[in-house]
Amino acid sequence: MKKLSSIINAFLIKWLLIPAIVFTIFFSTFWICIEFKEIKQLQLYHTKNISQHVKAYLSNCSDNISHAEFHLDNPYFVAKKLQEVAGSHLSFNAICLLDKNMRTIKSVPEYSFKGDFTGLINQKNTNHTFFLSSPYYSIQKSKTTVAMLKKTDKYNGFILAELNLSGLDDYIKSLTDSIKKGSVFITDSYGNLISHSNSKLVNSQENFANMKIIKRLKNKKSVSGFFLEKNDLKLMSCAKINSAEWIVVLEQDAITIFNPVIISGFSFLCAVFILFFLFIFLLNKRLYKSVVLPVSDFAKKIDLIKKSNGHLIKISETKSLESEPFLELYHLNKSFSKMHEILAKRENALKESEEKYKSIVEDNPSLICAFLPDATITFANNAYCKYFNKTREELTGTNFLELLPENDRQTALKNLSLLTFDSPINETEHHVIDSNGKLRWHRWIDRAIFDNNKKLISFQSIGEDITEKKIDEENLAAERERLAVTLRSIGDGVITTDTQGKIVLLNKVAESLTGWNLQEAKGKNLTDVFNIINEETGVPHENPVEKVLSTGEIVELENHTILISKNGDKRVISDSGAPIKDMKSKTIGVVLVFRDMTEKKKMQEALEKTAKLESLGVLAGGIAHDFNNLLGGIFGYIDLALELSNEEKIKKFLTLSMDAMERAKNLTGQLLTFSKGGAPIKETGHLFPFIKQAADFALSGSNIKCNFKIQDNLLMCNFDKNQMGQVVDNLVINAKQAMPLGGELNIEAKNIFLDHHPILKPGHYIEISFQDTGPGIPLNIQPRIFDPFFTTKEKGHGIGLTTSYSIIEKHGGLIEVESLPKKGSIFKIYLPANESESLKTEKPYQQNHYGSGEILIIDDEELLISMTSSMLEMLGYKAVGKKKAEEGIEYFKESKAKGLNISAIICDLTIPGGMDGVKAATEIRKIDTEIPIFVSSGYSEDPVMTNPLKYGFTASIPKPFKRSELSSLLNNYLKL
Amino acid sequence: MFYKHLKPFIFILISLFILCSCEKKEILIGFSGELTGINSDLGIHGRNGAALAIEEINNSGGINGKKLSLLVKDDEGKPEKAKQTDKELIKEGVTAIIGHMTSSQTMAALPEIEKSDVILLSPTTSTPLLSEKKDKFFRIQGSSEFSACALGSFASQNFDIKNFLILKTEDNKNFTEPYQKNFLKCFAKNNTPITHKTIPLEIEQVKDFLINIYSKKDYQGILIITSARRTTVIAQVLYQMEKKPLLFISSWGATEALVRHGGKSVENAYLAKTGFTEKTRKDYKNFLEKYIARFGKVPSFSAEQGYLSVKILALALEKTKGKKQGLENAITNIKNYNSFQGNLTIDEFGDTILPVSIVQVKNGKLDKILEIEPKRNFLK
Repeated sequence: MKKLSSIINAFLIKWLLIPAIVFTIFFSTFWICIEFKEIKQLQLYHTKNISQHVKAYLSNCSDNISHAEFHLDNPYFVAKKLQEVAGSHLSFNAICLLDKNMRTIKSVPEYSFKGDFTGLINQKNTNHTFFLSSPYYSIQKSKTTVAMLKKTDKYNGFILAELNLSGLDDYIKSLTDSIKKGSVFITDSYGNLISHSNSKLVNSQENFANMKIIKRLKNKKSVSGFFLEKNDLKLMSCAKINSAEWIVVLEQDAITIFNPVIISGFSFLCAVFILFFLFIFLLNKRLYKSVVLPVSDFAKKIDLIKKSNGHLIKISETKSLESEPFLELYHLNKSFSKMHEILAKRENALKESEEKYKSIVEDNPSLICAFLPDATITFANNAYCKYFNKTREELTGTNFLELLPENDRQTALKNLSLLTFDSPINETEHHVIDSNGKLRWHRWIDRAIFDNNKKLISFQSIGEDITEKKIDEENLAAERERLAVTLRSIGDGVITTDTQGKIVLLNKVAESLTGWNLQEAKGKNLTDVFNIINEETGVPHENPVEKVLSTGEIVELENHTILISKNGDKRVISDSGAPIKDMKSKTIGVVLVFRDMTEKKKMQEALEKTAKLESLGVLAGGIAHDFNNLLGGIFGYIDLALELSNEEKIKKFLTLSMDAMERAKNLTGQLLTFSKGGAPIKETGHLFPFIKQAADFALSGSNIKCNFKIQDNLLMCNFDKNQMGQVVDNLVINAKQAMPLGGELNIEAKNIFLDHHPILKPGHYIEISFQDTGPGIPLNIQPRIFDPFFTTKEKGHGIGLTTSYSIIEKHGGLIEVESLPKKGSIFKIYLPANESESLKTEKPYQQNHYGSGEILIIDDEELLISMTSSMLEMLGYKAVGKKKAEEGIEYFKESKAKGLNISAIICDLTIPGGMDGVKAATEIRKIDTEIPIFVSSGYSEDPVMTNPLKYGFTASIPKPFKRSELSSLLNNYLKL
Repeated sequence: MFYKHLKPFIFILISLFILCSCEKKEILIGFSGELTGINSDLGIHGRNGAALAIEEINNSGGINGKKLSLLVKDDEGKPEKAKQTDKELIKEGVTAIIGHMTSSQTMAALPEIEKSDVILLSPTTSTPLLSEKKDKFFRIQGSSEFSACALGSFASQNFDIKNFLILKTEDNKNFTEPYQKNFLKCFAKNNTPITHKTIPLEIEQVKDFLINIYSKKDYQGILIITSARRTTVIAQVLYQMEKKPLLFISSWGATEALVRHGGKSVENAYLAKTGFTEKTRKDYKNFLEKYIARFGKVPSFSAEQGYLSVKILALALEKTKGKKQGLENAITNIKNYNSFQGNLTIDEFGDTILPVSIVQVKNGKLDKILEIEPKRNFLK
């Protein structure tokens, strides 16, 4: 069996193309033959005309010869007559008389005749009246010619005329020229050329006897036809001139002459052939495309029909179309029968499947619906109907968008519009209004359905209520956010690892402390990021993760742990590690929590030092307080004695006593400075040139060079000049003693701002550094140099630096030391700067106060009451002393009641065994709010002393005080 | 699939094309001679004779199954043209060349022949300058030295000639000069005073030329060394001048044209020819009949020579089975070929050895008077 395409092709070629070609060839050939015949006849006719012309020419020649013969009556005039004939007839080259043996008797011209013509005459012709010789070479004319002879009885011989063929040659030549690729020539009956356009051929006496047309002529008068001469096809015609037995031949190149005909015929043939071919080709193509290809394709495809599960099934048992040709229609018939059977089975299966799937859809708890592109519902399953509490009929034909809140409709439509043929499925979440009118969250899986032309025809959607899940998710997200914020907010560093010790998480603090960020550290080993060593030994600590994993319990780091950050910073940390366990108590990781303890440790050390100083201060203060009170008395009286004495000697001794007392006062002052009562009396002012003067004074006479480097615009600060003088004195003297052979002391001051300092509060500070070029302080004693009574000097008290430390601390500052052996020491003082307060103007010198009235003195020390009373009296006042506060208050009440005006009250701050100064002031203020009350105490740093207004006092005066100081106080607060 | 059905037609077309492209196998023979001009009688008749011989051979089945084909060229009687025509023939692939008809043309063309692989077989070249040379030149015309000497010897032995005139033309010197030399070599024994004159090439001047010569003295004998046609012009002028000297005509002029054109003026003239044709022989009659039937006129001497040349060549080609190779040996091996000029032998130098005949024109025909057997030492 053959393929359909083969049959069509064979049919078209056999019954259309080949007959068409045959018909066209036949028709073209027929037409060409007719044309050929016409041309051939025309040529023959032309040839005959030429032969007639030649015949006429020869006839004319023979007439001339006859005429010559007529004049040859008288033999004596033969020569003369011949001359006349030859001269009068241009058609003759020569004329002569021959004897019967054809040997020349007489000729004109006389010496150019041929002697013997026997070899040139065909003896058969001699019976004719006129006959022609074979062509021969004319010596006179130097060319080939022929002779015409006439038998003449007069002389029993022949009269011969050698023909001048020039005229004939010209005629032949003109004819030849008029023919394209052809020629005309004349031969004799032997084929010897007589006249031709090519004179050379004539002169060489070419012989054309072998020419086929001449051979064919023989007994015929004329012949024409195609002849192959020297490999050239020629159309030739020839006609015999009977009287002369000459032959006129006309030859033309057949190709040239028939070229137009052949081209026309061939063109016609080609055109028709091409048209037919094209027609058949297009018909074939059309049939192939419209019939063969679909049928063949159908036959091929029908073999394989996909099962519903995607597997291919074979319908036909026959082999493939490619391997074995067969009739497609036969194949289709077979295939359709088989297919019908399969389709019937499939129909049943489909019904069953449809029922199955229908029940699945209907019974599905998910909401399933189908709707058109304009959102018109075409199907809804039971769950859908139930959810919206509507029947299927009610829902069908409605717009599903009506079930959505207005805000969500655009979202739903936009999601549907994103569905394409290539991406027909999408998932979306939006609100739906349930049957109770409440908004519910739904998740929908939408599928767009397209037809074969990729045109959207409908949608189907499967949805579920995810409101509860949504709430859970939101809660979970909030919880997660809270946890994340919490973790970020934790002030401690937190690192979590997996069970392999690989880092999973770092919070911000951990990033800051380790110097690694989360992206860098994630996945690294803990030890790469969390590099911890023992502070004292420098030995790396055991990996806490391994420890936690091995024990399964919470572990804490050893003391003195140092964390080395990525950039090499070292921090003291405290750390604990705990296993992270899942619901089944299985350890899934480790969490490390650690804290930067560096500042805390410093603070702790500072507190310890402060506590130490406080305890010692209580002791020293106790002694100094009493000693100071005693000194106050002595001091006052010596001062009074000095005022009153007129004896120079006594004055000298008293002055010496005053000097000794001054030193004693300084000593007790120093002791009191680090005791409870040594509060500084601060004034706002510039530290320089105060410090410079103090330093210069302390170094006067020494071989130490002191260099100062003071920042411009150095801020002012609140400081106690006396105490600050002590600090400078102590530090400079220490430096001086450290450089017994001389050296340099560089004092530098500058403004700084401290943000994070373990001890000092954030704020502006003035940093004053004292740098010597001495041997430095050994490392082992550096921690103890501020301890009270610690000294390395033979005559030292060991309280200079302690006092300095205490003074600076009470100023709200700090003193630190940096020293390396053999490289000198630097003591740095940090004092809080005062940016706002303007410099207190120096008070103008005041004259001693002198007033009047009564001043109440409350002090538990009799000596001081006495001394103060003496001073007051010298200032014009009457002094009343009370040893207890209660007594003083009572006296004040009484005086008030009596109308006596007490000018002021000087009250001791600490009065053992009764009401202290603050309570007393409180009570007095209840009676009189305006009376000046001055608090007096050796504890100059006590808050009451530094801020007396707060406690009801007017002002404070530190003990011991001079009369001038008292006078100044009264000058300020009492009106004269 | 559509094209599958066209395959047979395409196959037929290709087959036809291949068949048409096949060349016909034939043996090409060249002919070169003077076909135009006053001396063309040798060439035209030689060509006709050769053509007739080829037609005969082809009619009998050709050589080794192959037809012979004659390719004709006109050397116009000019040495340069002779050279050119031979070159052309060689280029066109001829197996051998028949020609040339006169000595000067042959000698001019011979170097070209020597350079090629074809041979030159001349029907009429008779110059002794080409004798006894091992080359590619062969001839069936005996060397003119024999005929010249024979004619000279004949003239001196039979006639008492007091004043002898030798007339010769400037052309074809390779023939005229050796001929004159050999004639005199044998004639000079008589110590006859001899006058030498060169014939003018223009025919119109011949009469004045002869009147001028005869105005000084009469000559009892004249040797004319030129072509037949020129010879007849001289003879006719002398006849008209009523001068009747003893005419001795060189073998160059010994053709049919001498009698045709000369008529009575050449009556009694003496010639010496190598290979005198026996007109009564059957094979000659057969040839004569065929020639006249074919060309409508009587064959000349050169037609016979042309005819014979092709016959001899065909004989050699038979031996080489139509190939060029071995042609030289094949020709020199031809001994005692029975031609109508007698037994023809070609020696190892390619020269033909034929008897020399002393001939006289009697009544428009050539009558043999004497025949001398050819010998190499004839002149010695």
